[in-house]
Amino acid sequence: MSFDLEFAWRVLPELLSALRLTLVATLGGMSIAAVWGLLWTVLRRARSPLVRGSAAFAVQFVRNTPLLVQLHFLFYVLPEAGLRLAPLACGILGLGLHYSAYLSEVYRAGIEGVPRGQWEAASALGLGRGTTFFRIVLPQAIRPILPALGNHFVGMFKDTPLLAAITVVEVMQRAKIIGSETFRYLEPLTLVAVLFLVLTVVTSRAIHRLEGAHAH
Amino acid sequence: MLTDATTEAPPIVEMEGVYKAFGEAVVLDGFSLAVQAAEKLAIIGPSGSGKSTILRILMTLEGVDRGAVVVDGIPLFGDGRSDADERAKRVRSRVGMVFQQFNLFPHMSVLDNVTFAPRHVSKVPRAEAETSARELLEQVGLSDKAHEYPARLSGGQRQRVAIARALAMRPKIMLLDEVTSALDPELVGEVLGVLRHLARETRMTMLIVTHEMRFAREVADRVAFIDGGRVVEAGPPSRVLEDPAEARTRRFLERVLEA
Amino acid sequence: MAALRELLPPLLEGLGVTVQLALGGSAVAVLAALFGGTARLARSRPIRWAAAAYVETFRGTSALVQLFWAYFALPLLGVRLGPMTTGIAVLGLNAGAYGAEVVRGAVRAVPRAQLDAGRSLGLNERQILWRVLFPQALPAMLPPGGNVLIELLKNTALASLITLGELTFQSQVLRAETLRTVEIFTLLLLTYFGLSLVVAQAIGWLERRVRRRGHLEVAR
Repeated sequence: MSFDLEFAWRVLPELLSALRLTLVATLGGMSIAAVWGLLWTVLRRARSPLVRGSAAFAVQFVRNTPLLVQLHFLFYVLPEAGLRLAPLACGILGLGLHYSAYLSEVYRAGIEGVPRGQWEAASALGLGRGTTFFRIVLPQAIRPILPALGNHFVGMFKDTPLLAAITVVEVMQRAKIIGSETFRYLEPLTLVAVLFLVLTVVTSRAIHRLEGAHAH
Repeated sequence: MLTDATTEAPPIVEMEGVYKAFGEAVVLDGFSLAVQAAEKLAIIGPSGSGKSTILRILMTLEGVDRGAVVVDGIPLFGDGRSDADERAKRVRSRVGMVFQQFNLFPHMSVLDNVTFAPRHVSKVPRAEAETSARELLEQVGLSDKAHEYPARLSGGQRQRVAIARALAMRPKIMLLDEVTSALDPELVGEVLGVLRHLARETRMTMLIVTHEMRFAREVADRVAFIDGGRVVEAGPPSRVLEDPAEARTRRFLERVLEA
Repeated sequence: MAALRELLPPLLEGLGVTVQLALGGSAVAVLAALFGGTARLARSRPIRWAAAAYVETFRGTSALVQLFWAYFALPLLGVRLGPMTTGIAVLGLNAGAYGAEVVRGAVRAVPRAQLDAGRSLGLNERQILWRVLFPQALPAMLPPGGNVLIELLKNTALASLITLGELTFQSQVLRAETLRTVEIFTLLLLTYFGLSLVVAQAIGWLERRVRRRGHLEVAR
C-alpha cells in the first residue's frame, strides 16, 4: 500500500480543526503550570522545613511518574471525591499539574541566577522578604528562563495526544478515528506526525532566536 | 590599642571581642571597635583582613560566632530568635550601605531605584518620595538621569545612584564598602567627590572601607588599620597614615604607596 | 490487606513487562545515542545530516505519536512488529534522540585543547573521539542521561495504549474489573516513583565508578 496524497488532502481540514482543541489544551495547561510552578517554588523556599520538604517531595513525585497515569488518576479518582470534570478540563488540569513540576525547577534555576548582591542590596535597604522576592528578584529571574519555559510549552504541546486516553478527541485521536472508519491509517497518522513536527520545529527555532536576542 | 574615644556620649557603634570564621578561615579574632556618632571613620588594611566583614556584620548581612555588637543602642545577635529578627529590622532602618558592586536593581529606572525602599518600607507616598529622590539625585549630580536604566550608566554614575538610593532611607549610619574599587580610575573622582560632600556637610556616621589613602586623609576623623582580624592601630589620619606607631601599619602603607 | 493481595498478581505481571520494556528500550537508546551523537560530530556532511534528521524527527514528535504511527501505519507499509518490539524500538529510538544531544553536548564541552593535543600527536579522528574526548565527556553525560532514561521509564506507560500488557495496561484492566480506583492508582504511582528512584540510584552509582576509574579529578 502506498501513500494516497488525495485522501490525505481530503482529511486535512478535519485534522486541523481537531488541532484547535490541541492548542486550547496546551494554552490552558501552560497557564496553570506557570502559576502552579511558581507556587511550588515559593513553597520550596518556605521557612518551615516541613513545608519545604513536602513541596520538594511532591515536585519529585509528579516529575518522576508518567503523565498518562496522572491523567488516569485525575479522570477516575476525582469523581469519587465528588469533583466531576469534563474530559478536556481534566486534561488541562493534568497537563498543568505535571508541567508545574518541571516549571518549578526552571523558576528555581532562574532565581539562583540572580546575583546575591541584589538580595543584599534589598536587605540593606530594609525591604521585606516578600517584597524582595516578588519585586526585585523574580522580575530579574524571568527573562533568562523564557527559552526554557518556551521549550516546556513545546513539550506540553507534544504531550496533548495523551488526552485521548481520557476521551478527549484531539488531533491524534481524530486521526485514529478517521483511520478506523476508512481503514486508511497511513495518511492521517503521517499527517499528524508531520503537523507536530512542523509546529514543533518552527516554535523551537523561534524560541532559539529569542534566546539569541536576549543574551546581552 | 583599641579606640581613641574623646567624647562622653555612648558610641553609636560598638563591637566587643568579636570572633567570626568562615569554615576554616578565621576572619575576625577578638575584634573590638567603638565609633562615635557623626564620626567619619576610614578603615584600611590588607585584603582578607576582615574589613568588609565588619560592615556586613553591622548591616546584619552576617552573624558573629562570639562577641557583642551594638548599633545605635540596639544589641544584635543576642538570644531569642523572634526578637533577633525584630532587632535586625530596626538596625537596618538606621543603617545604609553602599556596595563595591553597586547592586542597583537593573529592571528599574534610576528614579525607581531610589524611591522603591522609601515607598515600600517607610510607606512614603509616591509624589513625596519622588521629590526627595530628585533632590538626592541632584546632590549626586545625576538629576538628568532620573529615567535612565542602570545598564546605560557608567560605573561612576551607577555608584552615585547607589549612594542616593542608600541616602533616601535617611540612615544615621552609612557603611561604604570599597565603593570605588570596582571603578575605572577616571571614574573614581566623581564618586569620591560625592562622599567628600557627604562627610563635610552631614552629621551621618560614616564607616568607609577604602584603599584611597589620600581621600581617607582628607575626609576621615579617624583611621583604623585592621590586620589579622583585629584593630592594629587607630587614630587621627595625620598620625596613622603619616607616622604610624605600629610597624605593621608602616609596612602596609609602604606596600600600598609602592603600588 | 487480603483485598490488596488480589491486586498484586496482575500488577506484578505488568511490572515485569514494564521492566522488560525499560531495559530493552534503554539498550536501544544507549546505542542510538552513541551513534547518533557522534554522527552529528562527523566530518562527512551526509552522515551529519542523517543524524540531525533522526534527532529532529524523534524529538519533534511525541513518543505517543511515534508509537501509534509504528503500530498502526507501519504494518500498512509491510513492516509488522508486535507490541513489545514496537515499544522497545520506538521508545528506544525516541530516548536515543534526546540521548544523542546529551552525548553531542558533552563531547563538545571537552576543552578544545584536548582535540588539538590529539591531532598534534597524529591520532586519527576516530581515536581522538573514542580514546581522548569520549572518556572525558562521559561523567558529564551521566546526569542528563539519567534524566533521559527516567523519561523512557515514564514513556513505557504509553505502550498500554498499543495494547502492551505493562503496568498501566494492567491497572486499567483491574480498574474496570474491581472499581478500586484509588488503591490501584496509588499503587501504580508509587511503583513508578520507586522505579525512577532505582534508575536514579543506578546512575549515581555509575557516576561514582566512572569518576574513580577515569581519574578525572587530576587537573588537566
